Amino acid sequence: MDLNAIAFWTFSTLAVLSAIYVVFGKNIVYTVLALISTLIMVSGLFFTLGAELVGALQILIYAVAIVVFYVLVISTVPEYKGKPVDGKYMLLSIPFGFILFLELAYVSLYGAWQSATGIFDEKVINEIGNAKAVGTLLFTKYLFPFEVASLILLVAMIGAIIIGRKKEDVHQEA
Amino acid sequence: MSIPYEYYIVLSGLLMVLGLIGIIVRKNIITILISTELMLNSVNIAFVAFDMKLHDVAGQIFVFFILTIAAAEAAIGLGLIMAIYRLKKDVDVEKLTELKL
Amino acid sequence: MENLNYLWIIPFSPLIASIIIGIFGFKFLKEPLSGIVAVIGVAISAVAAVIGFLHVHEHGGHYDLKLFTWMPLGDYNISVSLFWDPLSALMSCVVTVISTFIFIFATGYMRGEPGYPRFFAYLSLFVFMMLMLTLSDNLVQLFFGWEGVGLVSYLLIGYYHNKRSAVNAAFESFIVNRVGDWSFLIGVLLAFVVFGTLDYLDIFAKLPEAGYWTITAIALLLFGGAVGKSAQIPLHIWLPNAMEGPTPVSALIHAATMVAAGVYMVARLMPIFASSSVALDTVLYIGTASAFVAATIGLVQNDIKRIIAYSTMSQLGYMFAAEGLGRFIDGMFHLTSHATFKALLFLAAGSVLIGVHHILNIWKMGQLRKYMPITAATFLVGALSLAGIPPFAGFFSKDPIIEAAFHINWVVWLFLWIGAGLTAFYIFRLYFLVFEDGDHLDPHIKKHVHESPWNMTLPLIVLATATVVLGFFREFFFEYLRPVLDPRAMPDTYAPEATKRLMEEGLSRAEHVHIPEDAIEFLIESLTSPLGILTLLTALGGIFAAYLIYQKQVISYKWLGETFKPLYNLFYNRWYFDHFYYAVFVRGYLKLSKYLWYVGDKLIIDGIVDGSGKLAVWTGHKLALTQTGRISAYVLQMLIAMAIFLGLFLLIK
Repeated sequence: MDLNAIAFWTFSTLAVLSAIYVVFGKNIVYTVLALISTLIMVSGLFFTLGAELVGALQILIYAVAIVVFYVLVISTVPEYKGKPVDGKYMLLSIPFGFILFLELAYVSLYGAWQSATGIFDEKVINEIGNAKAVGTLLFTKYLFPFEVASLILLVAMIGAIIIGRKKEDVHQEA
Repeated sequence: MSIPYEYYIVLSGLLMVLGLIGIIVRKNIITILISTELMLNSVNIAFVAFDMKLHDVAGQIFVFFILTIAAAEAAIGLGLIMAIYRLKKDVDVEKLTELKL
Repeated sequence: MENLNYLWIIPFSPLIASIIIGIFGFKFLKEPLSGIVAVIGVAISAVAAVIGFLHVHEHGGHYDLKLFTWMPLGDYNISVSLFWDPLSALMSCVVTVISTFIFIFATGYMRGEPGYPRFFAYLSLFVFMMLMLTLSDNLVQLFFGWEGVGLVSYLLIGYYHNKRSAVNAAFESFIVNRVGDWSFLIGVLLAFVVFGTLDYLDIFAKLPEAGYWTITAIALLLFGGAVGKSAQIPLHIWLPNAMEGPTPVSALIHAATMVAAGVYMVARLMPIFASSSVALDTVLYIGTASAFVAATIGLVQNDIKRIIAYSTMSQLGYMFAAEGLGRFIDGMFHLTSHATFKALLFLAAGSVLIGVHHILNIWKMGQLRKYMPITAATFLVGALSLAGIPPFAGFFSKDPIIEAAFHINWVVWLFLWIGAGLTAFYIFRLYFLVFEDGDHLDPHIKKHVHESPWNMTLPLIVLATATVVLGFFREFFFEYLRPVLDPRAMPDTYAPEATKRLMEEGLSRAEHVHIPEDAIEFLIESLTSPLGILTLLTALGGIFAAYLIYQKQVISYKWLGETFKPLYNLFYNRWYFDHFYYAVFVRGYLKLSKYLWYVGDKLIIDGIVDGSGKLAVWTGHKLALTQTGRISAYVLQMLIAMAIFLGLFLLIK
C-alpha cells in the first residue's frame, strides 16, 4: 500500500460521506460545511492524480469563492422551515439512482476505452511540471475558449448584478 | 501499485448520482443548487482521471473552464434565487410551480 | 418513280385555310370571305387528290412518304407520313371532292349566322383531321386523325352553343366516342406489344408470327373504336342527337366522312381482320344488327334530320356487313356511293330547312315540290338511290351486298333484305310527307318559302348527277381496288406470302360468291335471277306501300300505329337503348359517386383528418398531466429515463 493508494481511499471515502450529508442533511449551514468538505476532498483527489494546478484552482475558486456566494444568500434568505427532503421523490429516485450508478460502474470497469493519446506522458510531466504543461496547451491551442471564458464571466457578472438588484435601487437611479 | 484510473471514474459516477438524487429530493432551492455543484465536481474528477490515463492535459484545461462556468452559473443562479425570494417570499420548490399546465 | 411530294398539299391546304380563318376570320374575313377561303382551301386539296388518284390508277403500287419523325419509341419511330395507294387515294378523293361541294353549300346555308368564320375554321380543320386519318401509314397517326375528327365533331355539333340541347348532344357524341376510342387505343397498344411496330406494312409482314387469338383480340379492340366512331350498336346513341349541329355538318361529318372512318379503318387493316374469322363474324353481326335496328327506328321518327341519320346508321351497317362477309371491295364501293347520295339527302334537307325556317317536324311540311322544285327533284334522286332502284348508284352498291349475304349466311340475308324493304319505305314516307301532298304547312311560311340560291342548289345538282352516274363505274372500282383488297392480286411489297395465306383463309367464306362486276351485267343478272328480282320488288314494294299510306291515304297510318302499338313504342323509343344506358350508367354512376362520397370522403378522409386533430388534442391533455411545474419531478423523469436507456443500450451491446 503506497501513499497514493492510502490517499485515494481516504479522500474518496470522506468525499462520499460528505456528499451524503450534503444530500440528506437537515441544517442548511451544516450542508454548506459538508459541501466545503467535499470540495476539499475532491481537490485532494486531484493532487493524488498529479494535477496540481487544477487542484489548487479547485480550492481557490470552489471551496472559497462559490461557497461564499452560498453563505451570502443563505444569510439573506430567512430560515427555511419545512422538511429538508421530500419523501415521495426519495422513494423513486434512490433505486433508479442506484441502477444508474451500477450501469456507470459497469461501463467504467468493464468497458473498452480507446482514444488518441497525447504527448504528455509521465516522463515529460516529470520534467516540466504540471503547471507548465497545462499552460503550454492553454495559451496556444485553447486560447480562443480562454478568451471567451473571460467574456462569459463578464456577462455573468453584469447579469447577476442586474437580476439581484432590489427594486428601490432602480427607482433611486431614475 | 498505483490506483487504476477506472476507480476514479466509478467514484465520479457515484458522486454524480448522489448529486442527481440531491436535486430530486431536496426541497430548498438553495440546497438544490448545492447539489448541482456536487455534480459538476464529479465531472471534474472524471476529466482529470482520463487526462492522466491518456497522457494529455486537454482534460485539465476543460476542468479549468468548468470551474469558470460553475462560478458564473452559481452567481447568476443565486441572483435569481434572490429575485424569486423577493417575489414569492418563499424558497420551497413545491410552491414554485408557475410552469404548471 | 415520280416526285409525289405534291401530295402533301392534300392534308395541309385545309389546315392552312383553317389557321388563316381562325386567326384572321373574326376581324378581317367577315362573310362571305371566310367561306371562300375555306372552299379554296379544300378545292386545292381536291384537285391534288384527283391528280394523285389518276396517277396511282395509271401506275399502281403504293407510295410511303415520310415527313418527319414525331417520336422515337425504342426501336420504332412514330412518324408523320403519307401513304398513297388506291384505297387511300379513293378515300381522299371522296372526302375532298364531297367536302368541296358541301362547303359551297354551307356558304349559302350559314348566311347570316353569327360566328360564320368560326364555322368554316372548324370545318376546314375537320377536313385536315380526316385526311390525316386516311393518309396515315401507321396506327398512331390514324388515331391522331381519329381523335381529331371526334374533337371537331364535338366543336361543330355544339356550334349553337347557346342551345342546351346542342351542348348536351356534343358532350354525348364525344363521350360515347371516347368509349370506342378507349377500345381502339388498347388495340393499338396490344399491336405495339405484339408486333413491336405500328406501321401498316410492317404489321402486315409480321402477321403470321402472332397467334390466332392475339390477332383476333387486336382486331376486335380496333373494331370497338369503329363501333363508336361509325355509330353501330351499342355505341350508336350519339348519332341522332348529333343532328343538333348545322346541316352541312350533318352532311359532311355524319354522313359522308367521319362515320365512314370506321369502315375505312377496317378496309385499311384488312389483313388483320381477314386473318381472323371471329373478327369478321363480329363485324358482320354488329353491322347486320345495326342495319336492321336503325331501319326499324327510322320508320316512326318525325324529325327530318333524324330519319336521315338513322338511315346513315343503317347503311353503315350494310358496309360493315359487306366487310364481314369478306366482300371488302363491295363495302368500299357502297361507302363511296353512300357518301354521294347521303350528302345529297342531307343537303336537300338543309335546303328544305332554310326554306321553312328550321322547322324539323315532317308533319308540319308538305307540298314543297311546288315551291322548291330543284330541291325536290334532287331529293327524289337521292331517295331512289337509297332505296336501291336502278339505274341509281345505290342499286349497284347495296344489292350486291344483299345477294352475297344470301350465298354466305341466310340469317344475315334475312335481316339485310327486310332492312332494305324498310329503308325504301321510310325514305319515301319522308319524301311524300315533305314534298308531296301533305298539306300541313304553316300558312305564314307558305308565303315565304322559295327555292334556295344557286350556291346551295348547284352542289345538289352535282351530287345528284354523281349519284346517277356512279353506279356504272362498278367495274372500274373493282379493278382499281383489287391490288389493295384482294389477296390474290396484292403485290408482295404490301403483304408477303405468309400473310396472304392467312387472309385467303379468312376470306374463303366469300370464295363461292360470284357477282358480276360489270354494272350492265349486274343489272341484267338481277333482272333475271329470282334473288335479284325479289330484292328489286322489295324496294319497289316499300315505295308503293309508302305511297299508299302517306300519299293516297288508302291505309290509315293511325290504324297501323294502333294495331302494332307495342312495336310502334319499341321503334319510337329507339329500342329503349337510351333509357337502358341512362338507368345503368348515369344512375349507377351517381349511386357510386354518392357511396364514395359518403364512405371515402366523409368517413375515411374526414375521419382521418379530424381524427388526427382530435387525437393530438387528447394526447396533449393527457401529457399535460406530467407538466406539474415542479422541477424535482422533471429531474426525476430525466433520471429514470437515463437509467432505462443506458440499461437498454448496455443490454443490447
